[in-house]
Amino acid sequence: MTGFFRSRTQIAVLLLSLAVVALTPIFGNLYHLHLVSLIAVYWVLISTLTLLVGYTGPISIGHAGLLAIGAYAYTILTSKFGWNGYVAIPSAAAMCGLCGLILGLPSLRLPGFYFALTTIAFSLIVGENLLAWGGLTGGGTGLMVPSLPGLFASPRALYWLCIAAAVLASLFCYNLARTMWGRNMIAVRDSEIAAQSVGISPLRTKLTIFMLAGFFAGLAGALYALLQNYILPENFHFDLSLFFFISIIIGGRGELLGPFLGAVVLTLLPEVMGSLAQYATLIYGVVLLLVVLMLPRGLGPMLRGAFASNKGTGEHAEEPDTERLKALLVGGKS
Amino acid sequence: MTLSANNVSKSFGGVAAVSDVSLSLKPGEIHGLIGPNGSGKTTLLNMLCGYLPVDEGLLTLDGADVRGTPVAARARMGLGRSFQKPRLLESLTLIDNVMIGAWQDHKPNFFSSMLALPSVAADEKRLRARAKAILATLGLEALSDRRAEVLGHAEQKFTEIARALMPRPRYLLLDEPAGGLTTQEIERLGRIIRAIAAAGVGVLLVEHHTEFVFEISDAVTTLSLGKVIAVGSPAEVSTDPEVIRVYLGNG
Amino acid sequence: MLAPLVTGLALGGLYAMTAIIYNVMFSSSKVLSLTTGHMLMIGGVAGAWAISVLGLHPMLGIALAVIIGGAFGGFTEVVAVRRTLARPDDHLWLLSTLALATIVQQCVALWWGTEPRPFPKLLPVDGTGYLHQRYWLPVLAAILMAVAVELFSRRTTVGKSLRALSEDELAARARGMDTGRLRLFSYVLAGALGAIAGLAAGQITFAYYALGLSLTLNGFVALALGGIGSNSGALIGGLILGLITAFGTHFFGGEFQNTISIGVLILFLIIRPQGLLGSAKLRQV
Repeated sequence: MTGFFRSRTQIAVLLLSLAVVALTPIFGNLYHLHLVSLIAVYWVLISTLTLLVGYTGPISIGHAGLLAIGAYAYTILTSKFGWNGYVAIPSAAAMCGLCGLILGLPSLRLPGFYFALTTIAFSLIVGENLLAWGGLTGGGTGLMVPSLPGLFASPRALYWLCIAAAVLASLFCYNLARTMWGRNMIAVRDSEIAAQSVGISPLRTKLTIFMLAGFFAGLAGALYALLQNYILPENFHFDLSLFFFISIIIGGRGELLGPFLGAVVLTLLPEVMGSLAQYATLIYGVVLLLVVLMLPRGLGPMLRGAFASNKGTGEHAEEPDTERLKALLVGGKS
Repeated sequence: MTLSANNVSKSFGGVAAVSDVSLSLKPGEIHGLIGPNGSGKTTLLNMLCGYLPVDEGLLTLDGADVRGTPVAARARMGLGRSFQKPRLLESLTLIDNVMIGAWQDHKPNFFSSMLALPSVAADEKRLRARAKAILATLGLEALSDRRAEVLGHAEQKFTEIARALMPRPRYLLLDEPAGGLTTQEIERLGRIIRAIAAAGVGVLLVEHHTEFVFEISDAVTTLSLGKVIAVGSPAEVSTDPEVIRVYLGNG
Repeated sequence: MLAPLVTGLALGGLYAMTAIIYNVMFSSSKVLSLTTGHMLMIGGVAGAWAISVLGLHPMLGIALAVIIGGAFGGFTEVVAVRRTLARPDDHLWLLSTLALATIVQQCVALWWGTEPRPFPKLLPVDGTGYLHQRYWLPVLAAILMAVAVELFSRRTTVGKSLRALSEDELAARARGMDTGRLRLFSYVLAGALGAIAGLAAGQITFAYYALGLSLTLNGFVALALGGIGSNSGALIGGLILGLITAFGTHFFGGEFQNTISIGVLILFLIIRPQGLLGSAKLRQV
């Protein structure tokens, strides 16, 4: 099953990540804290987006729009309506969950390409409306984001909150991926016809995962707003949607580890490139093209190490045991 | 209690694919469905499962009118099927492919799964054991952990049957299961189908291998150009002059 | 009311041409390339560069832009389409054309700049106000393009081969047609037409790198509205989209341009995915 612990590479990555998470607050400065927090927040969104795009299938390229809705919902609830930050975070996430559901509805009727363009349009429409409803969103000037009161007000505490969210998201995704839901999602992606024949409703699966991805995008959005302190529509440009989407494709559909590494690398890229950061999107495009042409399954399968196909003893099928088969099936559905 | 089509018809763009066809499948019965290409077998099969709507006529499953029931719901009522061209999940292992067959039997809900509550692991174990058992009875247990895409044609076909058997269906619809199989594999298939029927499952066998069909079926329906031209025991149908003329004759 | 009408028609012409170009590529490959809008963008930018920056005569500038456009079309086929056709259900072509579109857009942004730059007057024809060529040139070009493409597909050997290919690829190949070369040709043609469209509309869109994504999206909405595969549908779809955009902007302000035009029409597509003139059996794209 597409689980985590199949190879040494995966264990190594996990340990390395834990080391980075633990050591950054000790040895790093505020910039490093911010960077790792940002990766964590992006991962909160990308992890569930992976379940959607990588496992369940729909090509959904507009999730920066959902991030924006989460960020602005949190900011507006706290700064304009005076809500408590700790209530606003789950509220923003819930609102985004609903938006995710709405975003997913067309996927039930429209063929793949049509739906993909709908998601691109969604991203652009969100951006447009953020600028237009200036009274609420501050328009092009943006909004100041109030810090969380009490315990999580400091950058250090916020860092741990982001890490906690990332760990939670990872756990949830891992849990879903390695059980019947994981198989369900892949069935919907690879053969809706076969999925239906075993009693799966592709509609329910897709809408459920769209809502999940929306909820976590909203959570990520609220945390993103807190991290940035100030949000503008241009933070949520379509390029960001591309970045999320490309991390998943590069990492491999049906994988969790690959997209995680993809997210880390692509987040760090502009930071490492310094003055060459303007080339970041160009590089994303080139990498995507290379991956699609040469490694359509993404880098994930390579990272997973030993393929499951080499396991198992015999080469050929054996003789059927018909008596046992009969016994297994007797007394079926009534 | 049967799976029945009563006087069903279906047209595509003015051309009748199925005309006034009736068929009844009883639990424990092996019912063959034969006919030349274009006779409407696949259309009828797809209507029984729910992939195609019925233009006219009645479809019942254990007495309930299922004409408006979606495919997944009919599957949950006890209807299983295999496909002519195997539709397996290539990136998953054989056992994963079989386990998904029991989706309707798995108990934990979405939130329990997400939170990895203890009931989830227990359920996984239960269904994995059932899948292994079914694979073992089909002779495929040794291949459990291989990815579906590396399997041979016959193994893929048998895996699909295993998947369909997971929820212990009442009716099993097999779409050309013998296609591409060697004589030895067909013989194995025959024994498997007999065991399934002996357990009380009604099996509809859509097939081109007429010898095979006549050998193991309890009853056979022959279609030609969308209409039923013969129904009866294998002995009756195989000697029916119309059937011979339209289908069996040449060769 | 005259202003949105005239602008709407011009935009309509632009969107219609984009839709026609989608059709040309779709006919040979069953692929809807996300680089379609960028073909127009490149035409506009190349034309502006050739005429305004290099100082070439408009006719030379147009020729150069068309050549560049055609080359880009061919490049799209060779790089992004050819090798992704093996498993069309995986939608790999969607990802590869998305990647190529991103690359092209970024390259143009880095080279040409991210601000829209003015586009020169093309034809030595004078007109003021609403008779200025920026308004009627896109409409004229759209109509001519639709007619030309129709004639081409009905009267010329290559055109007829393309039609046969789009209807049944297996049969076409069985009859000995070199489907690979036909496909390459159709993409080069699409690129050239894209350049022409970009040039024709350049005076109203300006030479702007971000046009690519916007046109890919709007052009597709126009295409889907009219029904994929239909050039008359492309004209009608483009016209409707153009007018809705212009009048929507007129009444509600330009800030809601995308929301009104695309939002409304996507709702329409959800109800009727095959568009106005498309057949009820929607091909799974």
